[in-house]
Amino acid sequence: MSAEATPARRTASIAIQLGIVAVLAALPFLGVPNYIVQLAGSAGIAVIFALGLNLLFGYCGQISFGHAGFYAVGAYGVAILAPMLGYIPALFLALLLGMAVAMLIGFPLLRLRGHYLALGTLAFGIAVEFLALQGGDFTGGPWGLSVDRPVLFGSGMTAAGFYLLILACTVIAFYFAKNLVNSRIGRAMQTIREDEALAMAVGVNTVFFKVAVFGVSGAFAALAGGLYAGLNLYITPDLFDIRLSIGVVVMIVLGGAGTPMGPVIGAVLLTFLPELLHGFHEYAAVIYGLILLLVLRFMPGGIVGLFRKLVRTKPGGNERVVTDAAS
Amino acid sequence: MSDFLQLLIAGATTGSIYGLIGLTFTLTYNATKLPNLALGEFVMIGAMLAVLTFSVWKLPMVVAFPFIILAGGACGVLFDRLVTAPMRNAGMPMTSQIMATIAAAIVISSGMAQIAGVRQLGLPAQFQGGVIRMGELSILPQNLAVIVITALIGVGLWLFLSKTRFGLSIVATGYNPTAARLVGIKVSHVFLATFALSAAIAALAGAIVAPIISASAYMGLNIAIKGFIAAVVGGMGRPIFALVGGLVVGICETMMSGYVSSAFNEVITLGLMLAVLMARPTGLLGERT
Amino acid sequence: MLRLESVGRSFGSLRALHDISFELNRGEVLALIGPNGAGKTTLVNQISGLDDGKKGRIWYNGREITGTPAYKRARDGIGRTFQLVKLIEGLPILDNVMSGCYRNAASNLFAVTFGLSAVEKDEAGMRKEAQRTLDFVGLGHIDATQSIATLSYGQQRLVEIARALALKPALLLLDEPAAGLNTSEAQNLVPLIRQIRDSGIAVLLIEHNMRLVAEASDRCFVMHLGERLAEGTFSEISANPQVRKAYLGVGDGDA
Repeated sequence: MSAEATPARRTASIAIQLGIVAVLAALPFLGVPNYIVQLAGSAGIAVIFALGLNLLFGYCGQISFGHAGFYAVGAYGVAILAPMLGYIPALFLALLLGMAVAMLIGFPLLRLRGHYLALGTLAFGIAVEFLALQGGDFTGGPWGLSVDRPVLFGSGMTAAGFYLLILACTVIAFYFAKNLVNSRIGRAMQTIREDEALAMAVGVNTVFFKVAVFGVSGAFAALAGGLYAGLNLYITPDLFDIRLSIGVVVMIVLGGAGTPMGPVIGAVLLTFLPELLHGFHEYAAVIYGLILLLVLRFMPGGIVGLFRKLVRTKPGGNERVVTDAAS
Repeated sequence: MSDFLQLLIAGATTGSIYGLIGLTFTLTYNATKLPNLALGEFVMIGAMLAVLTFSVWKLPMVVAFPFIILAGGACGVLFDRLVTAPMRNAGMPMTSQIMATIAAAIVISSGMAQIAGVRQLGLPAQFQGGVIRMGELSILPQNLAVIVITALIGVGLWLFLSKTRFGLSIVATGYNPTAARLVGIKVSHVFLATFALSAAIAALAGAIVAPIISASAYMGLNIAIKGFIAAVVGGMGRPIFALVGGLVVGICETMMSGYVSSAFNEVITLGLMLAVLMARPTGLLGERT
Repeated sequence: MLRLESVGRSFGSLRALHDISFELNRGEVLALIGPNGAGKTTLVNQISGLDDGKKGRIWYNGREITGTPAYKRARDGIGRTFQLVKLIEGLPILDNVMSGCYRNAASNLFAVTFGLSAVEKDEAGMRKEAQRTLDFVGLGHIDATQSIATLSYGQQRLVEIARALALKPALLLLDEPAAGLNTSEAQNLVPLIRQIRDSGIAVLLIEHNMRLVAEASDRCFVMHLGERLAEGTFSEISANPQVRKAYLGVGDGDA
């Protein structure tokens, strides 16, 4: 983006990023308890989900309260297709399915604005949950579906192996999103968020663009859902309700909407926090709501926003600017 | 034919509730431009208070209902003071304000769950008595009360908004807050009053519908969604339009239940809303009139 | 470069525009003036494509663009600014200007998503171009990596113009560029507009600031209640009694 990175800074930045990924990859082998690895996997899935919606909501400014619907498409897609095609191909297909459904739904929905769009996406989310419930044998109805242990190269994947798969997907998703937003496409997204008339005035075909981004966010959501199916090995319709849709929006807002790292921070935090707050389990929801209210009022930029204000680095929805730390 | 009429009545009953809630939604939205997604929680509070006043304390209607209405209004005041006004005054973007109402809804419903548990709480009808027969129709007193009370509130609100000075100032503020300020209307008071009024009406709605659908801590969300749909289908031009929208939704729902299958209830409502949104984005009766 | 023929727009029973026709050539500044409510912004929206009254025809660069969507017109070289400054707060100044380079970028989606080096080259090119336009509008001395919040409103207006110029337009629609500016800021627009004109761009200037119009425009098109009232050079139209009446006195400054 605008801050030009010197070769030295660039190498250091790449080294740090590689290091982080290496540490994360080594997690299962460091004697960390199994449930932590499982949790880390869940976090990765949440990150993917949040990254996708962040493109639509954080950057393009299009609200969606029904994204759990695409997550469900991914999960059910994998559950249904994996026995026939194998897990990885099914995952891939589920991703494409999520994108297709999203673009199909997005085309009429994105003609709506503001709270009408919120309602329309809400309706979609509810409709998907409903279809899953009423799907009879196809979706397993209220009892859901069990998922076969994912098979790779002929043998079942271990917990560690599946974790690495999730990690790989998360890393790919992260850099995909990052490249997208640190480019003219990212700027175009933000012009749409700012004012659609402005976007059109700089040559952005807003109708097509919004649908495309909707599709991409649907693909991310479906990927997350498909991975979830492989992690949990059992899916039921009530997992994909409005609480999931709202939950992912909260992750983005908490972490910092419209930033590359925001969804990552928000997703990781909100995945691990319930575990840390084990004692307060009953009051968890109330605390969750209160924290959200406080963040909305006092930290509208989320954690990333707060960080930026404190460190007073250069502005920009661009993480590279932060790591390049202007002098 | 009598089946049809029966379903019509049943639809009118549920539709009245949807309409009432939609009416409060439109009321706050038109005045403040904020879709209040915590609306359902005031309905829930009303329902829970109904259980408390009628079942537990065994208060008579004349005491219980005013109590519930006032309590609802007080909750509305608290809500504006603690949630919406701070966000509004800090100049937060609309998306954040909407999310704040969601956060408040989470706090309220979870908080109630802490206090009263998550089970459904039943309640005997406030309007007792046998089935009333009117020609071919038979209707329970409670259901009739729902319809009548809704109609009364609808008329009352219409009169309030169009004939009283304060009501007109609410409408004026909705059209143009800046102009309203310039002619001496205290906009922050108007907003507060709007939230209080809609919460009070929602609480009353909750109280009269509680015997029919039972009260529970998490009932707010589903009923709120129905309310939004009623408001959107009817059109956001005036709160009264939501009543029309509610009736349409309620009747379609029961018709579908009666003639086809009740499994598709949700889909019908949603499908209806989407159909209306696509065909006539401003709702059946349209926007500002 | 730009030709309008009987362009009209009605909102229900309100006739916002009626039978508007005029021509504008490259290297010319046509000022669109008229009292509030005359229909100026409505007309600009017709030209930029944000609105379509479905009455009349518009030609641009020799081709008819009636009915073409706004984003296509922008891609063909119609740039515009807005009455209220619309800059993206979260982005630095340079990036805001770069957002105008959307249509001129070379790298495609594939390259972008895979972070190929083609993108880096493209970005560098856009950065240079954006800086160049910032220099052109007179903001070359400020640090473009700063947030736009550090700029005064007048400077933000210039950034908006820079963004429109980054589009490499052949036709530039300036919607009340002096609105909200103080006297000296508004005066500084005069040489800028002249420079833009001299670089071969056709400029349509909507303005209330009569001094700016007097000094920066080559011709004026006066509108009143959605219709053409008069046309000519500034001195011609300011002497026109009908124009004077419509404006309740044509001054040489602006309140």
